[in-house]
Amino acid sequence: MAKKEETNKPRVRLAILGCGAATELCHLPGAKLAAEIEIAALVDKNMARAQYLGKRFGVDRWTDDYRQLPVDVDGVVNALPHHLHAPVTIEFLKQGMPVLVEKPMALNLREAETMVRAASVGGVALQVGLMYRFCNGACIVKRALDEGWLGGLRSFTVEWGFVYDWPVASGFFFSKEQAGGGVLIDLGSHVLDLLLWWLGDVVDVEYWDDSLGGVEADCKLSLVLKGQTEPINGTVVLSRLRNLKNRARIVGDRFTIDCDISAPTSVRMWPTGSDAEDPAFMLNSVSLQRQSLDDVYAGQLRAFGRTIAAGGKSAVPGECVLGSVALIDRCYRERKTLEMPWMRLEGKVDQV
Amino acid sequence: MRRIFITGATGFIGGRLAEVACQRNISVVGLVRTWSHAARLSRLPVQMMHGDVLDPDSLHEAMIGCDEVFHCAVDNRIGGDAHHRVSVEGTANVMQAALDLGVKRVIHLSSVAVYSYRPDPHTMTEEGGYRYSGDVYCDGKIDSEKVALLYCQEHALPVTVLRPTIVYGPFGDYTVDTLALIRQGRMVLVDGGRGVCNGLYVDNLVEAMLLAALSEQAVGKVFHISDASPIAWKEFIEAHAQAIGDSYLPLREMTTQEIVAARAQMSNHPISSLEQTLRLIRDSRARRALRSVPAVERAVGVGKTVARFVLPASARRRLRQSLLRSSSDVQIAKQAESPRPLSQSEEFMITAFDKVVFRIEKARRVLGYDPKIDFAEGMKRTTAWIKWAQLQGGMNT
Repeated sequence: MAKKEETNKPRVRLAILGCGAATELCHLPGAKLAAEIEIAALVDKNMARAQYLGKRFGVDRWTDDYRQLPVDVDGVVNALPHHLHAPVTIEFLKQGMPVLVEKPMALNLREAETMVRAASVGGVALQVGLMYRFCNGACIVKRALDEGWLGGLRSFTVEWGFVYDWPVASGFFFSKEQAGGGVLIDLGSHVLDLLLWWLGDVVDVEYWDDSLGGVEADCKLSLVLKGQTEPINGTVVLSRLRNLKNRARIVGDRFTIDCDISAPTSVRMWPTGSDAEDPAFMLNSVSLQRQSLDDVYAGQLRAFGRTIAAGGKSAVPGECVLGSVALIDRCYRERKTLEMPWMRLEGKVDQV
Repeated sequence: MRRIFITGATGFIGGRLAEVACQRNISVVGLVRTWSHAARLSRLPVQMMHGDVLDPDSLHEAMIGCDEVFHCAVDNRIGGDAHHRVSVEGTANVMQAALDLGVKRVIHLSSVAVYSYRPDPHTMTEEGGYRYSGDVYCDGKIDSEKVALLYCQEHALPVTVLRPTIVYGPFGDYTVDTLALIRQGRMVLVDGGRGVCNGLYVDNLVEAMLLAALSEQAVGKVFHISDASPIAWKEFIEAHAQAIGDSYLPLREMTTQEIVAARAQMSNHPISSLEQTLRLIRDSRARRALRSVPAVERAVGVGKTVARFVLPASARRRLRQSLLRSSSDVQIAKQAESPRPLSQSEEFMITAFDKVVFRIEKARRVLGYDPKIDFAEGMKRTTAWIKWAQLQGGMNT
């Protein structure tokens, strides 16, 4: 793990709102690596939790009221439960305070658009916490596509899923009202953002999930994206119930590129049609700088800090994310029930 | 509207009960101890209440307004006193809350494990006596059942006890553990697999639970719940092997004596502490026992979280694969010739109750229980789930 680099520049002082798992496991470890960033305060309605994390990560100010932040804070990281992303972010933006809001940016497109408008009106930075944009692997895929390394694009597949054991501290994650949905808005916020970043806007989508009245734990999208020169078809499968391959693969006429979604530097490329597992066919041209997930979060915070310090456009500004938010909205609106083959066989209909 | 409360709602049986109950427009309240296990349950229109069977206040609050209680909670991840405490004290807390709130019916999910894994050979009716064996799960089932029946006898709490047999099906531990042994190349047919497997497809059990809660005659009674007819362990195991590929067949056959001898031979070979550790990690039941130590449980949680963030998924898969399958090149070679023999707990798992047929006439007569899903249909559904869950190969569990 990289050490925090010393710097003489004044540090950007951030407050983190919400002391759940994302703050403990992602933002605070990332901040420790970013010399330009100082976490000036932690906020959580559970003061003991804020205090505990403060002591662990060397943050000496904590509060249970986000309206009582220290006056010298330059920006906030909004890692509150999903349903508080939009209202609290808008409140800060209206005060002229830059915000890095965790994903999902909002519960729906209407909220997201209101956030973007608030940032635009006040001329305040609004960055969305889609940290995979800072992964070397995701960036090299973007470059490969932009520079046409793969040739004409044929198809893509994304699988991302694991038997869920994220150490959530509260049940908001499983509430439609508070989380906005299930695995689609959770993992899908990352995956769909990457796909739209790589392959362009949505042309069409068909969507299935396994919600039986609650939030979905498994879903599938059949997507058509605009592509570089012509539309490209693909599928996305996301799950909280099964361990999937966790890979994004894009097949081109010349080459196929394959990226481990959850690993920042795992990218493979090989001539389309050859054996993907045969090292003789692998290309080593995709050599990536080593990067841990802490490094990725540090990169995200640094980018936010640079925007605050120097002004200019955010690294992942709210308006860039509206496409994937709209796509998620559309999926929920047009959802069909995913086939659960063990519950529906030979005409036996067991589904709700 | 019928409103039921389920402990163990995030588990295999409680989770399926919740699905079926929702399908029948029954209002469901599910007790959730660990939010991170709630993904499957959260797909349903259930009211999830955070709580713990060891926390009477949380139970009381969650149970308010419920007509029926289905007590399915058991913690198989832990062993020793902690397991026993969840079983016995947890059951007492559930019964007390039900009594305090005037719940109309309580279904206590016990197990035929109250007779131990190796009851004497005969056809067993519900009148067979308890048999303590020293196994934490079996003995815990006896003591928790006694608590539930005591509340019925002394406090007139309307309790019914169900003793299911070998419950299998989608999301089930028995299915997942059986597949793991097959994939590791360690599964054998003990004594040709001719012993009796009292299989029970999970949906048949759920049907029995819902029937029992409506039967006035069932109060204070105990029922065996099993499929309509038992099969042989060979049939059960081979059907699971077929679900992940015919290449795993035929399975080796070993006698009990040969397995015992193989274990003895293995124990005569001094092994490194690393290998000992890896063996423990590979043995699911040993893992559960280890995790009964709170510090180990915490360390495992931290380790998994750290691994997810620090290691690429491919590296995690490789690490897990190497942990589960081998400890060194030498060990790989050794295992290729002679796979590690079944541990005693694994042997029990695939031979449990193999000399006994559990009769279900009482459940048929009193509850109107009529298990409609036979083994062929149960495995067809289970196989469909196995394929969906991508459990056929690799180390996806």
